[in-house]
Amino acid sequence: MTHLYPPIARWMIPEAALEATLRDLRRTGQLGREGGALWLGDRASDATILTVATASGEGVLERTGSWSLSPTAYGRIGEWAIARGRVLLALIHSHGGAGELATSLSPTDEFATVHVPDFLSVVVGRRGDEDDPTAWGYHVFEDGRFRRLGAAEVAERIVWISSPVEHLRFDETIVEELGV
Amino acid sequence: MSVETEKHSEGEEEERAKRTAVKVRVSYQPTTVKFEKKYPRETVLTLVKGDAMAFFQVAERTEGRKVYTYHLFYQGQPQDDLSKTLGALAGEQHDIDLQLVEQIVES
Repeated sequence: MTHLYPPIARWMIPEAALEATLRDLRRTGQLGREGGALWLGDRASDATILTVATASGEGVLERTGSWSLSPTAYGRIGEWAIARGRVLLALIHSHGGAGELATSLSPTDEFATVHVPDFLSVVVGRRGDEDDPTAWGYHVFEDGRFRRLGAAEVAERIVWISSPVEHLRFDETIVEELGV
Repeated sequence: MSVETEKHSEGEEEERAKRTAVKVRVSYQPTTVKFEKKYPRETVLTLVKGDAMAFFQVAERTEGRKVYTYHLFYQGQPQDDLSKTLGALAGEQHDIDLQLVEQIVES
């Protein structure tokens, strides 16, 4: 029987995903707003990120203090992903400030997001202007709640690889391929 | 009943089942596994949504005044009138693809 949510031991993340994600977080950060992106890929014990989907436009609310996707925008990228066998592995979004508190999930972050085993929720501080991924907050959903990964676990389970990544932009009306 | 009459009856049964049933497939972004089930055409979406959510092991939740809900999407459109039947949604079709979708809010 196919496992619904195969356990994830490690997330294999192309270094190219770093720049593709931060470019958009910095864009919103420069406006004083939070931004976000979805990381899609293959779910396995070593889950590989293959696609960075950044969101801007209709159905994407970027505000000081919050970022949200309408169900229609989320559904649009979902159609793209499902057609290609990609699954949603992680959500990454920005906060202002730096340090452990700033890169922790807020109560809303924990509540209003995907709740499936080993879903990864990542917080980037300095409104996205933080290019050291070891300074980010990594939170995994397990046993019904999000748990922040400690430094040793991040070093072991968040693996940066040299590999291309697809970059998309989406909103309620379109999924635009921005290249590899 | 002769073998021929039996086969004819089975064939009629199959045809009747096709006319009266809709095969539903529901996708959910965090997994490649789809929920699949045949329902009578008069089944309302409330039931389909509930079965799909149970299959994907997700639940609507509240926290104070905040409510986190899931939506069924068909052909890119939200189907929030859950009293609608599969027959009304599918029209002449005998199988349809839906997506279970949520709203993401980060702060």
